[in-house]
Amino acid sequence: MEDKHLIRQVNLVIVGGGPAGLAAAVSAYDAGERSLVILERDRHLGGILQQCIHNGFGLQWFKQELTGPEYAQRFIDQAEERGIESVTSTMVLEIQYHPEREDGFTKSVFCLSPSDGVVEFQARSVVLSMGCRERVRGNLKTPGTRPVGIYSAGLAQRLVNLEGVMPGKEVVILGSGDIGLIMARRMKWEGANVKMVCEIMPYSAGLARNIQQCLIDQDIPLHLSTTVVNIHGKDRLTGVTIAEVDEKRQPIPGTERYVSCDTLLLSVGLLPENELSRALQVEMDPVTGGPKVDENRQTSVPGVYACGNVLHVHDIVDFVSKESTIAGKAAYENALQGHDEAGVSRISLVASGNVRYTVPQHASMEKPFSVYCRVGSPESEGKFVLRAEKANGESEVILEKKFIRAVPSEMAEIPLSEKQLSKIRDFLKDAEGKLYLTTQKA
Amino acid sequence: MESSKRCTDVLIVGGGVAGSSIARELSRYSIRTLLVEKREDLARGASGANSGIVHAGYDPKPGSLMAKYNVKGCAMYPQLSRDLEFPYRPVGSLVIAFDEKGMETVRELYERGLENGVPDMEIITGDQARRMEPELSDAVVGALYAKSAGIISPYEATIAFAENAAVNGVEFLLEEPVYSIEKIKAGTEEEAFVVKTDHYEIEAKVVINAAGAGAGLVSSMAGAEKIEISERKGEYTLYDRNLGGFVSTVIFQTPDEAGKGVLVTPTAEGNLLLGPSSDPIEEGEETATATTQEGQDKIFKMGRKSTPNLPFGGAITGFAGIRAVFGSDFYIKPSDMVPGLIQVAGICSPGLTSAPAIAEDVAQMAVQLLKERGVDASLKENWISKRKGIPSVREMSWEERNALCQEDPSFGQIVCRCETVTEGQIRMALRSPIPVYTIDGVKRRCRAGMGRCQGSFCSPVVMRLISEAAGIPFDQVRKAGKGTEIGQGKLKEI
Repeated sequence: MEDKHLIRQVNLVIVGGGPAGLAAAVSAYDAGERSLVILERDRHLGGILQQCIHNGFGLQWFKQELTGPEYAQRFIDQAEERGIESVTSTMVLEIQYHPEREDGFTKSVFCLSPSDGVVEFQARSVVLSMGCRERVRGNLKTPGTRPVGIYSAGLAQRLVNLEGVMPGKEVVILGSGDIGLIMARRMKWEGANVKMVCEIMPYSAGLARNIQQCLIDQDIPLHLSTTVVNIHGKDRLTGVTIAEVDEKRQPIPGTERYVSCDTLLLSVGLLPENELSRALQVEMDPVTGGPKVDENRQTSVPGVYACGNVLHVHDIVDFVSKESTIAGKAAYENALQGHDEAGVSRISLVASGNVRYTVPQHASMEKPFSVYCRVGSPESEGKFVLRAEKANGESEVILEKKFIRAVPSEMAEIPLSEKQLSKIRDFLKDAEGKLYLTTQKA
Repeated sequence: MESSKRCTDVLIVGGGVAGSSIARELSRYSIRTLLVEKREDLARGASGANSGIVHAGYDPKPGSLMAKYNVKGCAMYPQLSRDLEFPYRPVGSLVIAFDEKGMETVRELYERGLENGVPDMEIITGDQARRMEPELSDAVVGALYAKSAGIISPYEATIAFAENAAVNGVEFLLEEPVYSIEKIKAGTEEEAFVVKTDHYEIEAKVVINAAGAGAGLVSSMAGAEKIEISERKGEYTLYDRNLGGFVSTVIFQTPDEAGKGVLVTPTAEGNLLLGPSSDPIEEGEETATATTQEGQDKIFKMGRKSTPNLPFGGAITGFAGIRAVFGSDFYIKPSDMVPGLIQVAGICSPGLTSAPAIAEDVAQMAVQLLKERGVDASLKENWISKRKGIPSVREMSWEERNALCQEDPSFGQIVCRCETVTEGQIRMALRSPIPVYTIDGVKRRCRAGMGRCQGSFCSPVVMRLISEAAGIPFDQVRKAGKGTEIGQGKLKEI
């Protein structure tokens, strides 16, 4: 019996073959990397895009409207054309960091697959691109019975689009995230009576175009400031009690209403899947649920990069591709160097006021990059203000960028030019300082 | 439908931990034993939804059946968990006190424990307790520490007892609710029972009523004594595995009349568990196992009293279980009114702990009754005492994982990413001695779908494996019992 596992050395290991991992692999290759492998847990590359059969993908990246599988296929084709190796049905279970290794292969990526058993990939650089998962009922602590008929929107999407199974006929959807909106329309088209979408917030968590196309055009009502407070039915779901909520998101007594249904779909947020990153002791951002990264998308563990929904949840896949391109190229450069670069001087970027988070969370300020951010609540006629502040409290405005409307569902991009970077460097010099990003009335 | 006839020496009604452990004890004898369970799987009542604690035995009143069986059962679990390969961890328990009144209770429990024969107890100070459990509240002034307490997976233990019994020849009929029990004259004078279920007509010499919350109904069907079961509901919150290390022992508050109070505990499989509430269930309430906002809020508040940093986030599911209470003690005895019927009723806490000890005595009662009826109930020579469990790939070393994969590559195919469950494990669950072809059945046997995503990713794959193993159409695979098929009609059907 073979009890010694297989060991392989490659410059770059990419954990996850969804849109993020594929784009990172292609960009690393195009930068010059030839020793790389994509590890994918599913039987196919493409990740969650394979079940997103609706269109609306690619308008930014390919300047063309594609379905999810089409978008994925473009990247799969690019990877195949370049001869990039990918291993499917392979689940990474652990990543170890061995800074003491002198040959530069400081990362050990342990994975399990039916064809090869345990394989240890020793790598110079690792890109984390594991994606995210959906929040579930237990996360919300929604009380009631536990019948069949309650699904995450993504599971329902897979059942309908890939497995050809109709999960129910009378549908209530909790949460107006994009998957929930897409599934509202899908279920309606498949013959279900989609009674309503309930959203606990006073505004939708989905893209404006999805509200229009998936709800308004389909005559599906959206109830804002409304949530599900009880679940009924012994074996199969028979209905839910919904209630309006106050500004603290607490149900308002007396507003409860029973809605009969056999299916409740949950689209109540996505969580970056960072179990591997946490075990590797990568420093995490409690707001994004992803690692803290610099402008190259390098995490606190040298030579380990993160991109896509494992880093922070994106609203459109085109931005995932863009971000992953940065990570892939940087991962190549790190591998080329042969040794992990010890922490360059970092300046922290701090989200303040209505800005919920920024990516990156810190930067070396050596070359132009963009700050991506998301606001906490909708805001109109305002501007983003980026301010540098020294430890002694002295501060200077670096840039201002106006917006007509900023909403939590749409990520904003704030590019930093070489001129602005030199302004930051000149102002902060060697002083301990931070950059603050906030919003103000325009 | 024509019901098929079965003839058995002993019929056990109820596939909870009591019925299943009794089945295992009876499987030692060269007799025919049959168990019927109304639900589609074992451990679907109180045995499947409780705290999973192996209590040390300082709670029950000295001299009670509870005291006797609790202390004995607690001592049996370490060996049983090794023989039958179910998760058990001897973590010990703390009963914490917040004031002098609480300390009085702690001292009472200690004394009671001594009287009950509980080993390895100690009264410790608040500081000693906090050294053991850094998350304990500063308000804790002292505690009773009982080293013999432990944690198990209650449904896996039940399944392990049952599977071992099945391997030794006990027949299990699931999804067969009993709807009548008649006494008949079999042959010339010997009395026997005819028990009817949906599909079977079972003739049995001895009937064991281990029907949990249904014990009263079963007793009345048999024309035996009135057993009035009152039900109490216990609600729980289960947290993500990454919080499993929040506490390392079972932390109780001092008990009151409603029960042992809210506890904060690691589970045998590495999660963090909070609960139970204890609320009466109104009669006829269809949703007896529904969670409530009040119940969830209450246990959280109580849990925070013990451990103030108990996180609000990180919960992955909530559930509620029913406690079948009858009087203040277990009711375990041959029926006074109906010869041949053995009552095993009122098995509320510490029923899980007591079950293996109860089973020994009940098996003796049954054997005695059989002997009186002329059955030669001798011990088998070839009884198999051990059961092979499903290997846990998550807990293996890399060497072990690799070796297993070389033997069977399906142990290299991860299906449930949250709990690291492979296709091989799921296939084993579907080939087990008492296979249950449901999504929840698979989950209880190998933990696929038990993790943080609650089956959102893996259930279609589990459905496919069930469909293949059982020959059920994919869309007709069920979550649990009848009426829980996943597919509801066809796509594009308006």
